[in-house]
Amino acid sequence: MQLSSDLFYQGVEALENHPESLRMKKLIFCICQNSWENDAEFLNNLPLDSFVKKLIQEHPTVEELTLALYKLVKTLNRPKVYAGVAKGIIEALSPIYKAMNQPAEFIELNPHHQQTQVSDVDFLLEQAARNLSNHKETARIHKLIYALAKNNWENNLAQIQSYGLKNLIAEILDIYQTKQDLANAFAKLVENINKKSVYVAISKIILGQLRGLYDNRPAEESNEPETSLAHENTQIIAIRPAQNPEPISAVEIPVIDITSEPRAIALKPEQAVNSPTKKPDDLYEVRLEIMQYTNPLRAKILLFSLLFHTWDRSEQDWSMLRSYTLDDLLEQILQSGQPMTDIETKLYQVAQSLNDSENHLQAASTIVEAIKPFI
Amino acid sequence: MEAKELIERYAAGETLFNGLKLPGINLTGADLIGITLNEADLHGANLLFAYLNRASLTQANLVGANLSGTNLSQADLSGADLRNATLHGTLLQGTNLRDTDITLANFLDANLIAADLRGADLSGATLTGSCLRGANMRQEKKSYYTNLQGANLSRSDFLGANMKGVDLSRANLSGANLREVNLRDADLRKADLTNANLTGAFLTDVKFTGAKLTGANLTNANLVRAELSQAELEGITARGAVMTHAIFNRANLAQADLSLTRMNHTDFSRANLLEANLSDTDLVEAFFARANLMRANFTNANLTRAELMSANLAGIILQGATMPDGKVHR
Repeated sequence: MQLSSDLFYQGVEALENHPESLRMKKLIFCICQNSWENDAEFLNNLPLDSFVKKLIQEHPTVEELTLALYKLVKTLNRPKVYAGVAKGIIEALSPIYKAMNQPAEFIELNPHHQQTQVSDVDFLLEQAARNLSNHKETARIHKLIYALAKNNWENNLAQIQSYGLKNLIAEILDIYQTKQDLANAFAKLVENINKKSVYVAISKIILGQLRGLYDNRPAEESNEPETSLAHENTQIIAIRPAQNPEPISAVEIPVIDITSEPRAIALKPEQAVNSPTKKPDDLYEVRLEIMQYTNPLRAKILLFSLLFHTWDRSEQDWSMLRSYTLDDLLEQILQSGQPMTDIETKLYQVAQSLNDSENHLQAASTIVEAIKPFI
Repeated sequence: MEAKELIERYAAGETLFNGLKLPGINLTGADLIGITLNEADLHGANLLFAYLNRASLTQANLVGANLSGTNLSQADLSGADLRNATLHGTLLQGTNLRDTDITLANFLDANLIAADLRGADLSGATLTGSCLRGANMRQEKKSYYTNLQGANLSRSDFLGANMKGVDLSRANLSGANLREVNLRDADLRKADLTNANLTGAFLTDVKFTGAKLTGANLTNANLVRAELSQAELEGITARGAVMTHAIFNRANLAQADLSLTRMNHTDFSRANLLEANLSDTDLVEAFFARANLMRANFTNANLTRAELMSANLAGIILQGATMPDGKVHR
């Protein structure tokens, strides 16, 4: 495990300067020392960097940290207030985790950019084809890709495979110039297939795999300004600031959430009412959407697996699932700051890995549709 | 009968299994759509993720059964015994649950949309996060009502539900969505409605005695003749609400927004209205005996024949208000 010192100190600084810094320290102290401390002076003099280091060492992934924090928050007197604080901690430290978990990618990405575009695309194409071939639902993936490339439904898998998945994908990329075009084409195609919900899920998996290919297309309008910037600096630096703005601005969000604060009551009634009531109302709509169109328990299991660890049906998992409401889980996903595409791919992956995957895929696609408008 | 035999016979086309003794049977994920199991003994059964859509389970014994994730949509469970059952994320949309005994059951995140819960006993049940939109809990006769005494309904969604005459005394409804619900004649004594959304709710004759409504939203609600003695209403929003003949004796309404409300004949005796906003209100014959009106805002209020003689009026704002004697305050 490597810790990037820059990012580490940035994270510590973000915690120190956060408006909820004191509460954050209380939580971090409690997790590291297993005891609750209320003395403000003591907390202010806390060597936060060593505590954060300990925190990260004991919780090597952001999921583990999230779990530990929320487990603690549940036991506190004011879980609502501290849920916001916990979120703040996770957001402040997530860049560190990101850097810790993907050092390989940074190194890998670099040489590719220096190589010619052709091999770059070729490499990604190869990778996508391989991933899709190794997928559990590879037969359906083949059929759907074939149908899109050849405009013809083929049930004979051998026939499809004789074309080679890579070639078929290349054809699709030629026909559909943008991600959106491809997504639209899939939507239209799936509309006419019998097992619609299954194939919607399959199309999402394919889209997820081909995303990288579209994002790496040369001369894409959105890439232009970034590359010119990159020339001034080195690649590595250019990539990081592009990722950083999200978590940094996200740190400020939890402040609005803290509704049960004593000082919030002192606010003017108009202010106190407007901002916090809007969100729960939306959440009711998201929840309704999920409740009406899928099994709420399956939805919870999926979201649980996405946020914590893959559902293993143990008694411990059940009791933990009962300690969260669908709302809690949805809120956590919505405020995680993850892009929709990431959530989508992860959800389908989780659904695929659980037994009774067809039902879970149906639940996954319902969740995706329900949360999309709010991300 | 063993689970295997039941499933096989059902698959072979048999659907009538009335009165069977199947305690503790494991039917996880079984497809038993439309099965008839009236008066069956299924206590302690495991029906996790089973498909029992449109099943008939009237008078069935489901005490302590695991019905988590079970699909019971449009099923008939009237008169069933569901005490202590687990209904975590259960689908009960349009399900008939009339006259059921569901005391102490757990309905966490269950779908109860348009369910029929008339006459059901849900006292002490947990319904946290459940969705009860359009559910029917209407009181039919004086002694025939849905019992939700002491139930946990925090963050539940009741939008548009008919809850006339329901017993919700000491229930936890914090953060619940009660928009446009009909709670006429309901008993909400000592209930916790912190941050609940009661926008446009129909609350005539409701008993809120000693209830906690801090942070609740009562915009455009109808509270005619509601009884709110000793209720905690600090900082509530109730713009445009109709509250004629309501009783706020000893209630705490500090900093409440009551602007544009109609509160003729309302009783505010001994109530705390510190810094409350009562601008543009109708308060004809309102009763403010020993009420605390310090720094309250009565701009353009109509206080004709209101009783203000023993109220604390320090710092009160009366610009443009029509005073008890009919004169307009400048």
